[in-house]
Amino acid sequence: MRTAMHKHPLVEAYLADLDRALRGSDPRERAETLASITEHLDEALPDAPSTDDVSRVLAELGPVDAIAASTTPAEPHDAGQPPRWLPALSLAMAGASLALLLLNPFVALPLALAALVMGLVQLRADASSRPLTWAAVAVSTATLLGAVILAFLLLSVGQDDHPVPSPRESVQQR
Amino acid sequence: MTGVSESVLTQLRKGVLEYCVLACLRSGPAYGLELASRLGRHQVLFASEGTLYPLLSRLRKQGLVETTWQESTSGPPRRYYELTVEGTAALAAFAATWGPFREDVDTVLQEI
Repeated sequence: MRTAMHKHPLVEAYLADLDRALRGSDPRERAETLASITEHLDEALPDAPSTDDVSRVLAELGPVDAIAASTTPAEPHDAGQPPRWLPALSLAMAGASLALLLLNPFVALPLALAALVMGLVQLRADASSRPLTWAAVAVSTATLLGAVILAFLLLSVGQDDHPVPSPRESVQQR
Repeated sequence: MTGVSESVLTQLRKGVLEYCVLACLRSGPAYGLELASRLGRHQVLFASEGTLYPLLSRLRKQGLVETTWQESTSGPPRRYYELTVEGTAALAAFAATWGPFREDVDTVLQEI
């Protein structure tokens, strides 16, 4: 593989520009276009090309924007982002777990745990909709903390001596 | 070139350019630079040689073109592009359709 050609600053600048211009393109077309244009330059230029040689060949290849315009755009999921509805789903799960906490803790707890884990993973992956993700983490944490407090209350009070008021009673008392 | 003619040209190229690349491979395998210089002669079709390469990538993805590496006397091995069986069939279909299509367009354009 000829390496001298790659050291010419104009060629390196062109290939770097091309790489940048192809960022929104289908990944396979991007990779193949970069490879085949590098091969084209390898073939077209001598080992130690003059600036005139390089300028001529680059002019014939044309502007990198024109090349990028003739590629297929990348699919949204190709860009490596998680689905856009994921933060909203995590928040919905967290909200549901909080609502269910008193009614059915056996459903609420796993739901809150799942929502918390999903939220934390999304934050690490730097997904979009960060406010929603933070809200999901906050609500699910609140639910889990609520569950822990509830468990302490039940354990310390003891169900036989002081029955915990049913949710219906506590609502009416307000 | 004005914006309007540019967009008309873009639309026309979309329908036809890939078949023109297939046609260039009709006589046998060719390497990238060869194809680029041949097609680059036709300025209305290819304003710049670089736009050939995304096209070739799509043709390979569609299974109409495949590539092989061949030894070269003048340096490192070269990637050669050639038509697959499906590519040959697609080209034949295009060639059969293009004549009547072009005639109709010409006729319609000349009608008053």
